[in-house]
Amino acid sequence: NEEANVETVDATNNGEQKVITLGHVTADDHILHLAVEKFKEEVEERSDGSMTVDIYPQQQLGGEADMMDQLRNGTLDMGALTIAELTARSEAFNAWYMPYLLGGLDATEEMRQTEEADEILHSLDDHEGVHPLSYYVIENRHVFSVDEPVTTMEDFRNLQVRIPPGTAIDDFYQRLGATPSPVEQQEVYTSLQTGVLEAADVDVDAVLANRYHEVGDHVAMTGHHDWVIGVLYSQPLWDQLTEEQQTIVEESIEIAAQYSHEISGELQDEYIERAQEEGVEIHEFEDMDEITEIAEEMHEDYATDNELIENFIEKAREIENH
Amino acid sequence: MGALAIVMIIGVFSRYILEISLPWVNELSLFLFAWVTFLGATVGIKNNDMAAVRIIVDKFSGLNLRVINFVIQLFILLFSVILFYFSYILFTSPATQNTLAISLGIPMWIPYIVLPIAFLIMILFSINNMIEIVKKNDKTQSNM
Amino acid sequence: MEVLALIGFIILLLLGVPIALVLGFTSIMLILIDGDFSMLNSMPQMAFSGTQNFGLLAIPLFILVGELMSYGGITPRLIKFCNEVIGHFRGGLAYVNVAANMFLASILGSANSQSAVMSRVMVPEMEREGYRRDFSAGLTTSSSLIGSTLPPSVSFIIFGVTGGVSIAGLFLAGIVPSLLLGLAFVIYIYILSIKEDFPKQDKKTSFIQISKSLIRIIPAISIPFIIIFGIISGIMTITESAAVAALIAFLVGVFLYRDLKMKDIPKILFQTVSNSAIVTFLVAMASIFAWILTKERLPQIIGEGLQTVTENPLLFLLLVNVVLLLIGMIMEGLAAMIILIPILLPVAMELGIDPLHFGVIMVFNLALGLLTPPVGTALFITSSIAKVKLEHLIIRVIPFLIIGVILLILITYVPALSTWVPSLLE
Ligand code: NA
Ligand code: NA
Repeated sequence: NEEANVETVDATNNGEQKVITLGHVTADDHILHLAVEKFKEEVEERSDGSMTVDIYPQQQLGGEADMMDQLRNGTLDMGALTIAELTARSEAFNAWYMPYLLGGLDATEEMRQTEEADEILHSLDDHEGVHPLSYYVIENRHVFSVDEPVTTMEDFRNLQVRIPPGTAIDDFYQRLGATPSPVEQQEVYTSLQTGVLEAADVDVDAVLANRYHEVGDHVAMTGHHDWVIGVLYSQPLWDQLTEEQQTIVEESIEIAAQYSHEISGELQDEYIERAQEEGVEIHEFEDMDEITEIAEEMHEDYATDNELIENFIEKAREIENH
Repeated sequence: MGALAIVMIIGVFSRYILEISLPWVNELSLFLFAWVTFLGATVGIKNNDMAAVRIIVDKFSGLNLRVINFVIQLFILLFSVILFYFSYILFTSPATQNTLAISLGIPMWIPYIVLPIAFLIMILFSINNMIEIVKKNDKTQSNM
Repeated sequence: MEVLALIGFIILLLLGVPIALVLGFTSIMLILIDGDFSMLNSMPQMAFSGTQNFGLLAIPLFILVGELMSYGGITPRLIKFCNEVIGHFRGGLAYVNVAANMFLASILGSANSQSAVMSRVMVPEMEREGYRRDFSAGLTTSSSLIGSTLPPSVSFIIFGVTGGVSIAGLFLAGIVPSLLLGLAFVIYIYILSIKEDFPKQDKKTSFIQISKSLIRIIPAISIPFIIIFGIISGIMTITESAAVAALIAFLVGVFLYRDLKMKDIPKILFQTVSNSAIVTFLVAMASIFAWILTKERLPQIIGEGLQTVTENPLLFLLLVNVVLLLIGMIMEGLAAMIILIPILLPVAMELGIDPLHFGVIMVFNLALGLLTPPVGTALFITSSIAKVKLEHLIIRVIPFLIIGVILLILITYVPALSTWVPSLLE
């Protein structure tokens, strides 16, 4: 992996070469990273090596707000950004945070390909200077906790839980009676260790990547929503690509998106198994009826406020019903 | 700074005494902190007490020292002008003007306005410092 | 081509341009060399987001605590208490100096503010009792070192924020090394007190008097306990504990000791803003710098270069220590850290060194730089406040510096000294 990066750096000296820099925030063994590596592979193969992709994981180029700025200025070619950041730019992205709207990765993948999802992706205003490409569906989200498993509604009461930043996800945990806080990623481990935090909203991949299993024991499989990533291209740099290059990027993105869905189901099970080997206990969530009821109230409220979300929710119900 | 301390204390108390978390507290304190940092830096420029390696410079005195100090101020001026220009572009860009802060819901130009303001003040202070250095020069010469 | 930027960096640095701006200029030079001018557009955003970190927010709050305390009359009360308890031993006031410094270290965030406060009070006091002024000043400067590694510590906050390492973890990791440093100084004083026949006070203070003084300072010395227990028990984050500490320092100063006057408040706030901006503006500029280094993949290249020199972690740490001691001679520790962490920390982690351990080494090492000539800020502060010639002061500081280096070697090669306390929590 590292050797490949060095090669790409060398390749920039070669005049004809188009180097696409791509930034994201997760660790380099996360499913998201595997998906963008697939993208890299495809681009390089389809362009016969005349295009290469240089990946910067783990916020190496800054946080997501920084990457948005860099995309707009044309200093970064591509970003794979979480919905959290995108909700700050267009509230319609909160649709992806709607808990218990889509029942699992397959439904979310189907949703990804709908016009309703696409409309939300393109609700990013022109002045953001980004050319939205697609989504990646990554993983199911659950609740990791240190001492006691979160298996009932009562367990949520006053639970100090770390969430990714974002209005809807914060709202959801508030409605459950928890105390959500967007603690910075690097402080989560110690905060769980010392008890500042009792729990964290996670995918099981993150539990392993961040070694949370060293400081806590439980994951309640709430599966409240799927983790979706928006893949964006810098508009000024997109305009500089030849039509052929644009097609290569678009096709490679789609293949990587499908790849991400293919591996996520399988890997998710593998991660759960590995977490169990590390001593993590996996629990069912018991009060499913109550939690979905709260979720549905939330769907109604967000649908009333935003037409794009309303359409999205309707489409999601359609997918769920067939 | 006072506002920052007060907001932080409100945050802690609401969380531990009232048992409610106020997400806007974190966001507001970070924005205030940015203001403290950039406006505070202008004071550092004005008083010449930013951290610097003065080991060689301090060997000089008289006219030579004044020339060096003038050159330093020139660099500060140049840097402030560059940063002011790009801060102003960032501040006026629609992406800043139309984005809302996640918790506070205020437009992001409000926190960001500190950048052009601070760099503008730095421009003024560095010019003022240069004038002071030159003036001092004249004074010593007239005394001679 | 990047060499040009390096040359520019060194020239600007030695010319005496503020380090924060040197970082900014070097960034601009790198962009111009690279030729992608659109990167200039992103500089303000990177500077702004460099400040958007909750851990960093603890810095102005801890500086505020320090300012409130120096106006609030707590230091003399602290010294009085220490003196009543241990002043009657031979060399009593010398021990009091170390003890009071340790207390202060656990409340204040930086060694410099500590040496300023202590030189003003402690040196005249020791001289009055018959200690030589140069020794008193040397001891006071040296003991202030403890302020860098004993939590709260601005240095650790900077290391945590810049390196993406847990600040709470670093705070805990710094406890044992700081206590060892205090202990080593006490042993040295003991040996010296016999050799040089240090004065001692005749009168022992009554138990009742000690208890009275203790009650008076309890609110003040509760601050370090709030911070440490805040971390360990998980009741508060470090930033929140800093806010609580500021509130306590304010209430104690105004209502209990009544030394803190309302009219001082604007001055205190203004000083806090300008003092903390010196550090945090540096961080803001450094985040532009680090971003451009990453884009150019420079840390990777330098890191690979370092690894071809040595793949042995022990040798790597030795190299790092020597280089940092040299840099610490001429440069402010915090600035050096901000520039070097993005380059050194990834290599250290690649070699299997615990980031908490590496943080303690780096902070401890650069703290020694406060005592090393030609540029030692703690030396300058004490020398001017206590009115001791720099060269006399340096001679008195050398033994403490040697103790510091021995301890540095110990800390470097016994990782458990740093990692033991944080590991207890698991
Ligand atoms: Na300290
Ligand atoms: Na030094």
